[in-house]
Amino acid sequence: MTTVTSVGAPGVPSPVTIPATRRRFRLPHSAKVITGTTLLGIFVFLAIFGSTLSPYDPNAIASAANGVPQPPSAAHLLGTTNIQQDVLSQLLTGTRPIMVVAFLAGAVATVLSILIGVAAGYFGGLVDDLLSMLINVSLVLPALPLLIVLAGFLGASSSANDLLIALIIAITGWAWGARVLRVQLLSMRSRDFVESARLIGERPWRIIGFEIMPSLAPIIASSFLFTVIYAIGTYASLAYLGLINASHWSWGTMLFWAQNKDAVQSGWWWWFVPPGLAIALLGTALALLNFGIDEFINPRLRAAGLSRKAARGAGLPRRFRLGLTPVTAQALGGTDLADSAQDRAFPDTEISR
Amino acid sequence: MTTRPTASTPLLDVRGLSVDYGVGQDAVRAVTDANLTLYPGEVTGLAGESGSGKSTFAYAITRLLRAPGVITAGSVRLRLAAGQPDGVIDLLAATEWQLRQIRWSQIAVVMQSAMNALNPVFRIGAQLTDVLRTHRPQMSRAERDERAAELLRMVGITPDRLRAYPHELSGGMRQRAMIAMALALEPRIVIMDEPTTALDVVTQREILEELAALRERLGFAVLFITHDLSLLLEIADSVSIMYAGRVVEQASAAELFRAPRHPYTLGLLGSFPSLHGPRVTMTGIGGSPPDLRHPPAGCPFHPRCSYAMDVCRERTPCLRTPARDEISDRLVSCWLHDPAGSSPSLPPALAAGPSLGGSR
Repeated sequence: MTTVTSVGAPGVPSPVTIPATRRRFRLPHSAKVITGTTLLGIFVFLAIFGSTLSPYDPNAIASAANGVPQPPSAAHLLGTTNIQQDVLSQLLTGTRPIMVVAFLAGAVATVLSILIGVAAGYFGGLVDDLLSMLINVSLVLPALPLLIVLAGFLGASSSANDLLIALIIAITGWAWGARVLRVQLLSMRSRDFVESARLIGERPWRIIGFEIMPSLAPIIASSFLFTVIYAIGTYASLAYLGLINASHWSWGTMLFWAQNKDAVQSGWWWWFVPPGLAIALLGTALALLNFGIDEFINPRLRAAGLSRKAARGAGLPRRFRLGLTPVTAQALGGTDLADSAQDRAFPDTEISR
Repeated sequence: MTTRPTASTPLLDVRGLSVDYGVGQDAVRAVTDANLTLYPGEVTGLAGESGSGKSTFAYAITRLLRAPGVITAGSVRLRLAAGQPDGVIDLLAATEWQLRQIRWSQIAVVMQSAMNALNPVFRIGAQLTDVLRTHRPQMSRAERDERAAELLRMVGITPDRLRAYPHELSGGMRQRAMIAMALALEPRIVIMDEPTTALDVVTQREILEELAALRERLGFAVLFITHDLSLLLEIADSVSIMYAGRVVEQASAAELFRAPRHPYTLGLLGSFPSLHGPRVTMTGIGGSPPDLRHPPAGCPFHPRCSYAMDVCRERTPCLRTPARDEISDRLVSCWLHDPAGSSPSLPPALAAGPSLGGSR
């Protein structure tokens, strides 16, 4: 062993180019994220084009039949209701209201929670006391009874107004996000980089906007998604309870009519399963997307995120654990070098593997 | 400086350790084929520039390296204490449970800026006794408190500070408290990763003197990592110099100081002033360490080496006994000292005669 030839590295180090868009928004290519994005994409498509795609008018009474719902057939792919309205048309037409309400309510509630939570956490003192009280009161108030009271005042015509309903849901849904953001701000406020920005004389809005906001992004994103999920459930509940104008088609309204006409007891599954499934799938899509955002935002998850193939190829676990640095299978295999070294260093003992 | 008993066997033997950051195409080799042997009661130093792989090496030995660090080759063999079933364990093959048994009670680590590892909401005493409660369940509460006080006294802090919170101590005291904590279970090896970097030189001196005294008394071995070679020459028995993830020279501290063999060691020694002796111009080392993503071909030091020859640009030297030091156990990785003798004339700075008798 007199020489060790070097591995084939280039003689002259090639100039290193740093890619310009290092933090491009790219979600991880995991199965969860792909499924979530695809599902959400389908629902967004249906929200936009659903009413044009629907084969019938959801209110149209197809034929003066006997008042018994018809199971799925070629003419009615998802069957009909008891007065022979097309279920598929109702499902497609009903996508838009629930999506509009859910995302609008999510957006308004998130903006509210950022304004109130961040102000409470950053400014502290009396501002914090007052805003915290507001947050706690909203948390303690039971949301659904309040919504029922509010919706009860609206009446049939204004309860068909999606924007109004979204605002009402937002008012009951912002407090959790605000509470989480306030606590995060309390911790961020005393970090060294924030304090140094304060000492330099930066204005509060700039410190909040440029120094603190980036690290709040994951919390805001996931709080938005979960508020959207909350709004979906709440809107469906309100409609199911009959508090939304019953001729304003949404998935909740469909469930309201199905319940009203004893669809479950009579086994008319094509009437209540599609809207229920749609609600569940939309919620799932958003939850899956949230996982992706988590992985994108957390730099350590990204840094350690080996592709499954690369990890398996090197004989390594997919996830690294603190205090247990992985060793490649090749290194564990034991080389001649190591064996001869054993003799030299520990001639008398057996190595336990 | 202690002399090593001839019959002693190593406590820790690291062979051919290689560490990558990342896997596959993007992997960067941070440590290449590094060897290290630790003998009982000895201080072994690990020196090199920032980014030369010192800390990565030490963390890999204890398997504390964070993601995306991966150990890709080598072996780390630890001789277990006599009380335990006699034997040697390979830390790279050890299970998590085995590592838990070994850490702290056999190998303790004092990290870089270890003082931040103290929990701010618990008193020092509570944090010191916590480890005893877990590892020495037979100890009574009074015994634990007594031991904690003794540990603090050992590192020069009065035991009344057991009631203090970390923010009530100065940086130096916190660092001492961490050293006390590392010694709580009487480990046989203490790995110190720049334990005094954040402290001023006076405090540094005090802590190192205390450490030396403790080592005399308790007899643990120390792996001391620093970029301060002058400090290392003073406290270490043997020194390993790292460059670009490789160990380029290994020798006893005295020999290294008197007769450096690797041009990089020579450069490091020329980079700090001597307080005694004639006034000399400091030379330093031109250039900067290589980018480990694109290491130069051949010897990684050749672009900065004033003695570089053709062979240095083509082939990587490996660590072996230099041509003129056959009797000592020093090792160097440089073509100038190739025993095959291809180098015609050794530069005088690197050719000080072999030590007479040696320090060991």
